[in-house]
Amino acid sequence: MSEAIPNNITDNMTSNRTVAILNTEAPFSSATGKESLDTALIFGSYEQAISLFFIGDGVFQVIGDQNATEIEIKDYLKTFSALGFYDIENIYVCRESLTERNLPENFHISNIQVLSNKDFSQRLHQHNVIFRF
Amino acid sequence: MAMLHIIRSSGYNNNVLAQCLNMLLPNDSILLMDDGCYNVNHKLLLKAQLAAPELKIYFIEQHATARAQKNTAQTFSPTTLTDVVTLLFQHDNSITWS
Amino acid sequence: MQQTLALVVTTPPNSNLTTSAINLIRAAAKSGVDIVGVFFYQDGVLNAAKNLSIPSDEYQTLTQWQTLNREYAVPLYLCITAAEKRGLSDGLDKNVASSIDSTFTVSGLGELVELTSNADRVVQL
Repeated sequence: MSEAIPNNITDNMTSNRTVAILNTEAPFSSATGKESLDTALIFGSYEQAISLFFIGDGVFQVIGDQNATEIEIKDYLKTFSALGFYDIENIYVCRESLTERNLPENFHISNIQVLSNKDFSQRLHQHNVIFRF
Repeated sequence: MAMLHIIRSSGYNNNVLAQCLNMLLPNDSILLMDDGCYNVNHKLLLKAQLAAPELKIYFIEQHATARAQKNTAQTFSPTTLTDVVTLLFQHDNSITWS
Repeated sequence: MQQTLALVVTTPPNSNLTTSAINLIRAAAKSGVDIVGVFFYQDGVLNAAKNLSIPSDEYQTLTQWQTLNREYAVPLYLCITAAEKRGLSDGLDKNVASSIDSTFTVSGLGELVELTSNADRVVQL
C-alpha cells in the first residue's frame, strides 16, 4: 500500500490521469450500458485518456449479431463505432467471462483485446480512476 | 497500484463479490459497507484471506451491527466511515462493487 | 496541501446507500478533505427532485444534501440529461416549472470530466 503522493507530483499528475470504465451489465434491460457509453464519449471528447473494460455480463454489450431495434430500443450499440473517432482505442474484454458464457470472440466493434483474467485485472489497476457501470 | 475494493451488496444474491475477488491483486484491500456487510462470513472472502493472509478486509462496524452481522472468524477489521476517508487516500484508486 | 476528493452518486434518495454516501462525504469534510464536488448521475439525479415528499419521521435525504452544501460548501452537480430522462426539469422551458432543488447546479457530463481531473481521488457511490 503506498502513501499519499506528494502534492507537487499530484499537481502534475492530475492533468494526465487515466480513467477506466468497467462495464458489468448486459446492454438492454437497464439504461446502464448507454449511460456508460455516454460517459466514455464525453471523456473522449475532452481528450482524456480513457479505457473501456468489459467483464461478466458486460461482455454481452460487445458481442456481434445483436438487434436492439427488434425490441424497440434505439440501437446505441452502433454508437460504439464513434469510439475510434475520439481515439478511444484501449478496449478490453475478459476471456474467462466469454468462456463462462460460451461466447466466441465475435464482436461488433474492432480493436477489442481479449485478455486473461490476470492481465485484465493488471491493466485495470493501472488507471487512476475507475467508474463501474 | 494498490486498489480499494468497496463492496456494497450481498455475495449471496449476485456474483459481484466473486467478480471483485477475481480482480484482486496483492496490495489491494477490501471494504465491506452497506449490504456488503452481509459478506462478513462469506466462504469466498474467508477463502481469499486464507490464500493471502496479508489481505486486509475492512467492514463498517456500524453497518454490520445494524444488520446483526458478526465476523465470526474475527480476521476482518471493523472500521468507521471516518477511517474510510484515510483508506481512500492510502490506496491509489478504488472500484465500487454495488 | 489539502487532499481533494470528488464523488459520483448513482443511488436514489430513498435508498440507504445514499445515506451512507452522505455520511462518508460529511466524514471526509470533517476530516479536512476538500470536497471538490459531488456529481449526480444515473438514478442519483433523483436526489435533486424538490417535490419529493418523504414522511417527516423518515430520513430526509434532500435536507441532508442541503446541509452538506451549506455547512461545508460542497458543490452538488446534476447531470441534466440523466435528470430529464427521469422526469426532472430545469424550468428553462417556460411552460414547465423547475422540479430541481436550487442547491443543485444543473450541469452535464463535462462537469464529471472536470471533477475527475481536479481531485486527488474520485469515489463512486
